[in-house]
Amino acid sequence: MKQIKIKSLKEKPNYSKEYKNYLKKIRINKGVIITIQLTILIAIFVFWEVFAITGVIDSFIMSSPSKILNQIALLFNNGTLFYHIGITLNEAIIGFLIATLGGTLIAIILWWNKTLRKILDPYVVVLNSLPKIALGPILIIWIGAGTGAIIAMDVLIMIVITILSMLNAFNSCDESKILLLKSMGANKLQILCKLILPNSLLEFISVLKINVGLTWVGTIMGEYLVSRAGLGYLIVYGGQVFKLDLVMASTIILCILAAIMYFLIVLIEKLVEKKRNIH
Amino acid sequence: MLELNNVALNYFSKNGETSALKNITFKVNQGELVSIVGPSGCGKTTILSLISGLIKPSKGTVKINGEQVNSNLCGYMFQKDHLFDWRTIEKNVLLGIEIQKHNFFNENKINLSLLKNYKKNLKLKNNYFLKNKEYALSLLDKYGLGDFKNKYPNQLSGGMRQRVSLIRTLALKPEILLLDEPFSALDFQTRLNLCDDVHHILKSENKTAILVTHDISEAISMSDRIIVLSSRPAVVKNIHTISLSAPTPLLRREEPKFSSYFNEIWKELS
Repeated sequence: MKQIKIKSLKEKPNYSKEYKNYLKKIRINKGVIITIQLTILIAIFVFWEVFAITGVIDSFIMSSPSKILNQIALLFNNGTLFYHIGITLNEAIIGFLIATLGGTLIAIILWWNKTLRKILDPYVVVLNSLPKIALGPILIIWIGAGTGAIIAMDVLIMIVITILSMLNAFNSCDESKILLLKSMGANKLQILCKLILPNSLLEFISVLKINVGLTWVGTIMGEYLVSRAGLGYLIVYGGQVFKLDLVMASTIILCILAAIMYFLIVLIEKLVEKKRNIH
Repeated sequence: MLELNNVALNYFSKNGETSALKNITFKVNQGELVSIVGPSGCGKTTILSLISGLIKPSKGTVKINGEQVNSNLCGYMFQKDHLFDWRTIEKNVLLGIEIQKHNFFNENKINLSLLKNYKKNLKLKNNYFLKNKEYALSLLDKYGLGDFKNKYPNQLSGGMRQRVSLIRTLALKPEILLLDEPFSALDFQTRLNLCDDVHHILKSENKTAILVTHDISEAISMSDRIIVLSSRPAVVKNIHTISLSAPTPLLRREEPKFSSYFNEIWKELS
């Protein structure tokens, strides 16, 4: 029996000078990119503020960073900042969970039953190409003008793409891997749990990444249609009464929330990759 | 041990009916390694699916030890190793045992409704799992893969991965091993070494195996007998008994009789 030795991946270093230089180069490159990114961000706000103060731009229409900060402080002081954030965040997260989990569940059912999949195929395709916002009035009449309708709009926007992506992931599994499990005597549930689901985990994470963006689209769209509170409501209200400070402040808070949620998903992705030993 | 009697198979598709196999009859004895060679697309893999019971013949019978086939008697090894990337080597090898553990109650016709026996049965099931797990891990150790059991498949070379997949198959103690071109995805060097390894493992575990291959010299070097099939609809053209005395496939390739076997089979195929 021949023994093939592979080098341990954690071999401790006696690195050559060239290799150390190579590592250093990578680190410097990364540092440069982050520095430039931060500089751009700061520059935007600085120029924005300076132009507003010197009157190059009209701060009534364009607002300005200091006015935005004042606006946020105002909202904070009268206690409505976290109230509005809470409402929107709540809708976004509930919609995200329902659409992602529900969509995956429907995809599992459709994977399980080929005939059902073929029957529903044209309906799914039509639903996918339909602009969901068109269903807004129907949702309001059916569900009522409130949180329910907003979440429903949010779910509608995400669920079809979730079903399609997950179903595609399930069906792209290698046939002979299924054959292998069958030859071991596996039933359909075991094929699903031991092969199809873990095999689609990376696709599931990319669906999470797509949905984490879409859920804000859906929630804000829902709030535009019908709402009495929330960040989307603040934006619409601010627009109507020409309070651009309020519009800008809400938009920036929205940016920050969306970014935080996105990075949480990226964190999950990193954990999965680490567990699965993907480099 | 294994007996195919007058087996025929017809495929159905929208374009009509194709006859894939016709009058296939052969026997395989315990501990024998038999190769099936034939022109591509002649239905070699189909014969393996029939033996494993995954598809049923249109005519004739397939019997293992005198009984109708069912999938638990056969172990498959494919062209690709099909190791699951998200499982360690150890977990990959235990895959089949995990699956059969869950079917344990059904297979042994244990009545779960008797609640008082539930604990006893659960213990039985766990013992079964542990015993088989031990056997699987001992195979890993025996064939030089014990040090890698906590590694992931992407940390192993192609040849090692194929050996792991063979051990995953052996862990279920199959009566018959079905090898479906298991070496064809590897480079030549690895392939020759792996032939030696697989031959060694099969012979020392005294396993019955059927090897499907398109490589005539591989078939001659590995097997005790070779079944030559015709093109579709496939019938058995000839069965050669290979009597080479050297102990390993690599050494068998050097024997003078090797090339005369090769020429004979080559002519039959063309």
